[in-house]
Amino acid sequence: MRIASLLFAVLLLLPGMELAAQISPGDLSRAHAQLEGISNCTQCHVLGAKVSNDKCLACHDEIKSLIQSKAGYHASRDVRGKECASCHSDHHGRNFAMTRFDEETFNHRLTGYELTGAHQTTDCRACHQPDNINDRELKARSGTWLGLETRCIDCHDDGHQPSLGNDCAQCHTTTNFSPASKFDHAKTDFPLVGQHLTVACKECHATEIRQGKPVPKFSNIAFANCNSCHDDPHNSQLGTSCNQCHTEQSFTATAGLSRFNHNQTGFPLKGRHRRVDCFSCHQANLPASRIFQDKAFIPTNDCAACHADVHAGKLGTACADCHTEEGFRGRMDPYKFDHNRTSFALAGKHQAVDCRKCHVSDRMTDPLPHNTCAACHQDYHQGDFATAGRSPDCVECHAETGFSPSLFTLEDHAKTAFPLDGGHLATPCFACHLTGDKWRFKDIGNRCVDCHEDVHKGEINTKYYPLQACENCHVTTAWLGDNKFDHNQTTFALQGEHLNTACAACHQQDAEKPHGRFAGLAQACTACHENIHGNQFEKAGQTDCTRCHSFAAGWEATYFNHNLTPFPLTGKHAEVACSACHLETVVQGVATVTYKLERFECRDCHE
Amino acid sequence: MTQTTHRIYIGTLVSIVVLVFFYLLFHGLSYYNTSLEERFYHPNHDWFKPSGAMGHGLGIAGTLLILIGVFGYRAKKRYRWLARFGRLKYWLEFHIFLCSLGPVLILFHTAFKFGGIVSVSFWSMIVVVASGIVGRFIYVQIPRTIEGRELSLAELQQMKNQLSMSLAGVGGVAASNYQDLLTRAQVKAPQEGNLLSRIIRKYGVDRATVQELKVTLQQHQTPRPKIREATYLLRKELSLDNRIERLHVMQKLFKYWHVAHLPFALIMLFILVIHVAITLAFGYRWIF
Repeated sequence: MRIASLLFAVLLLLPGMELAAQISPGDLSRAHAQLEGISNCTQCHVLGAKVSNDKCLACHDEIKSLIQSKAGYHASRDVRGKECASCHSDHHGRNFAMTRFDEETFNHRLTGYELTGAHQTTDCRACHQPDNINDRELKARSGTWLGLETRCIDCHDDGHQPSLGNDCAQCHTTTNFSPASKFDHAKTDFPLVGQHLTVACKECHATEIRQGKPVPKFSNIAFANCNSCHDDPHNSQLGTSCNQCHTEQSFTATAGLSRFNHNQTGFPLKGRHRRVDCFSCHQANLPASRIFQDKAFIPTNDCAACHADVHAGKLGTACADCHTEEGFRGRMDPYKFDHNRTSFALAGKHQAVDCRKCHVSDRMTDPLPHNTCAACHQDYHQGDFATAGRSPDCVECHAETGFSPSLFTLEDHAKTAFPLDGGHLATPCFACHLTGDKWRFKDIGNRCVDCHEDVHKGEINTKYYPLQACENCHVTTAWLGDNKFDHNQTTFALQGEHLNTACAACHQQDAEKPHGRFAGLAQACTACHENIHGNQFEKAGQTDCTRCHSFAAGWEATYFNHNLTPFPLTGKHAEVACSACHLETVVQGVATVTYKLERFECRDCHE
Repeated sequence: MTQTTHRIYIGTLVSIVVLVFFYLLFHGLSYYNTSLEERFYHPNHDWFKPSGAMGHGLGIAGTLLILIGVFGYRAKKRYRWLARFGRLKYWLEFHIFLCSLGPVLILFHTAFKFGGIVSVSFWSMIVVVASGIVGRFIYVQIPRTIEGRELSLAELQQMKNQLSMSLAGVGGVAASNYQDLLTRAQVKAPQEGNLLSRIIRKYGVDRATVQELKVTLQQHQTPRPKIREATYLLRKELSLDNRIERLHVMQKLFKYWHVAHLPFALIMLFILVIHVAITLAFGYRWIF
C-alpha cells in the first residue's frame, strides 16, 4: 500500500506528462500527428498483431485503389504483399520522414512508368509537384509522390497548343522535345521525298498564333497541290499539276518532265517524240514565266519548226508524207513518198521493193548511182555476157517488170552463135539455159548432144552419125519427119512408096526400143507388111510380094498379068470389076479375097 | 573464499560488465549515433531497434538479469533457509553484478531512446543503480559481521584496540615512533565542510599518514615485509577510525538510502510490467 501510494506520487510528480501518452514509443510523424494518444493506438495497431495493412489502407484509400487497380509503385512486384510498416514505420519523431527513398537509385519502372531519356536526369520534384496533379485532394498534400498521370500533357505544356491531340509520344521521345525523333513524316498524308527532306520544317509549317502563343502549324495544312506552298513561276500558264513535270528532287531537274502529259497540248507526242528530251524542242534557258511557251501553237505537221531539212528543200516541206515520228529513217512510209519526184522514177518491181534495198547509206538522200542496173543489182550472170571484159547493162535483156521474161528476142538469139530454128524456136529458154536452178548462157555448147540425149547410142551404128552428129538424121523442126538420112547408105535402099513412108512405120518403137528399132530389121516384105492373101501365092513356103506388087503407092498388082493365068480375060471380063469374080470369103475367121479360082465354068460365076 | 579468489571473482564480474558495455557500444555505435529520425533507414535498424532481434532480446535478457538479481538478493535477506547458501556479502556482490549488467543490456535495449512512460522505468532503473553505487559506499562504511550483521560501537572499539596491539607487535620499529604514528593515526578528521568534502579530505590525510609511516620505517631499515604489514595494519586502523568516526552519520544515511533505492526499483518494475504488457498487447513477442 505504501509502495503503491509512493508509485502514484511519483507518477503524479512526473511534470506535465500524461500517463496515457507515455505508452507511445515515440512521437508520430507529422502526417500522423492527429493520431497521437492512447485512444488512437488501435487506429493503426491490431491488438496482438502489430500493425495491419488493412488499417493503413483503411485511411490511405488512394494507395488502396492503386493496389486494387494494379497500378503504381505499391502494386509492383517489389512492394506487392509487403507490410506497409516495413517501409513506412512511425513513432520515430515528429520530423520523421515516413516516405524516404534514394531518389537517385529509385527504380521508377516499378511505378509502371519507366523513366527514360531526359526524365532520368530530371529532378523528381520537377514532375512530382502539385501543379501537375489533377486530383484535388492529392494536389493539396505537400510532398506527395502520388497523383501524377503518365500522359506527357500532365507535366508538359502542349507545345502545339491543342492542335495535334494529346499523344505526344507518337512523335516525341523523352530524350528531347525537339527534334520529334519518333515523328515519321513518311507516315503522314504527305511523305517527304527529295528536297522536301532537307528543307527546314518551318518553311512549310509556318508559325501561327494559337491561344495567344506562337506555335508551328502542323495540322490542316493544304498539300493537295504544290501551289499550296509554292508560288507558280509559270504565271499559271502551265496549269496546276506541277508534279507532272517537277519532282521533289529539284525545281530545275527535268526528270519529272517525262510525266508531263504532252497529249493534252495541241501537239500530242507520238513515236520518238515521246522519248526525246523536252529541251530538244523547247528552249531550256528561258525564264520560268516563259519556259515551254516557245513552241506554242505549232501544228503537228510543221516538222521544219524544229527539224532541219536534211534534204535541203529538194523534197518540199511535207516531211510527214515520208517520215513518221517513229524515226526519221525508220518506218518511212514508202507509199507516201513520191519517188517519181526524183530522177529515178520507180517502175515495175522497183515500186514494191524496200527503199533500204537500194538506199543503204545513212541518208535516203545520199547520192545513189542509178544509171545502170548494176549500180544496185549484182550481175547474176557473173559476166557471162561480157565482151572485152565489160558486161552489157541488164536493161539489154531485162525490164523493171521483172527479170523474167527477158527482153532477149529470137531475133537477138539469131545473132548469136546458135540461131534458133525449128523446134528450138518453140522451146522455152530454161530448157537449154537452166541447169538445176542456175541460168547459164555462156559455153553451154551448140551441138545437139550438149542439150539432147543420144537415145540411139548402141543401137544405130555410129558410121551413120559420126561424133553423135544428130543432124545427120534429124532436123530442128521435129525429131520425127523431115529426116534427111540417106537410107541408101544401108543395105535396104528405099524406093517407091517406102520413100514416102514414115521411118517409124518400119522402125517401130516397142518396150525394148522406146526410140525405135534401127538395127537387125529383116528385109522381107512380110517382115513389115501383113500378107492378106494367106498362102494363095506361096511358093516353096515363101510368098514373094514383088512378083505382083511394085514399091509404088497403092497395092496395085503392077507386075500381074491376068492373061498369063489359066483364065485370060476377054470380052466383057476385061471390063468387069475384079471383085465381081474374086469374092471375099471368110477363111478361118479372116476375110480373104480368093484370087486363085480352081473352077472356070461360067456357071461357076454366073447363074 | 580467499582474498585473492575474491578479487578474481570481483574482477571477473566487473570485467564482464565492462566488456559487455563496450562490446555493445562498439557493436551498435553507428546505429546509436544515428539520430532518432534517421534510425529507421539505418541498414541494421531491424537488428538494433528496441523491438528488433537484438534490441528486444537485450531488453528481455536485461530484465531477467535484474529480476533475478533483485528478487534473489531480497530472498536471501528475507528467507533464513537461504542463509546456508553463501555469505550475504557475495550475494550482494552478485546482486550488484546482475543489476549492473542488466541495466547495461537495458540501456542498449532502449537504443538510447528515452521517451514515454517506459523512460520512467528506465530512469528509475538509473536512479536505482546510482543509489546502489552510493548505497554500496555507505554500506561498507558500516562495519558488519561476516554474516552481515552491523557491529556496535563497543565492538568496534574492541576491534580497534586489537588492531593497535597487533600493529605494535610488528617489531622493528621504535616504540616512540609507534606512539608517534598512533597519535597521527588518531588525527581527527576535518570538521568544516560537508560530509563528502570531509571524507575526501580525510582520505588525503590518511594516505599521507600511511606514506609517512612507510618512509619512517624505511629510514629505520625495517625489512620490507614488516613495512607492508605495518602499513596494512595502519590502513585498517585508520579505516576503522574513520568508520567509527562516521558510524552514526552513515547509519542515518543508510536509513534514508533505502527510501530511495527500493521505491525506485518498485517504480521501475511497475512500469516494466506496463511496458511488457503493452508490448505483448500489440503483438511484439520478440522471436516467439
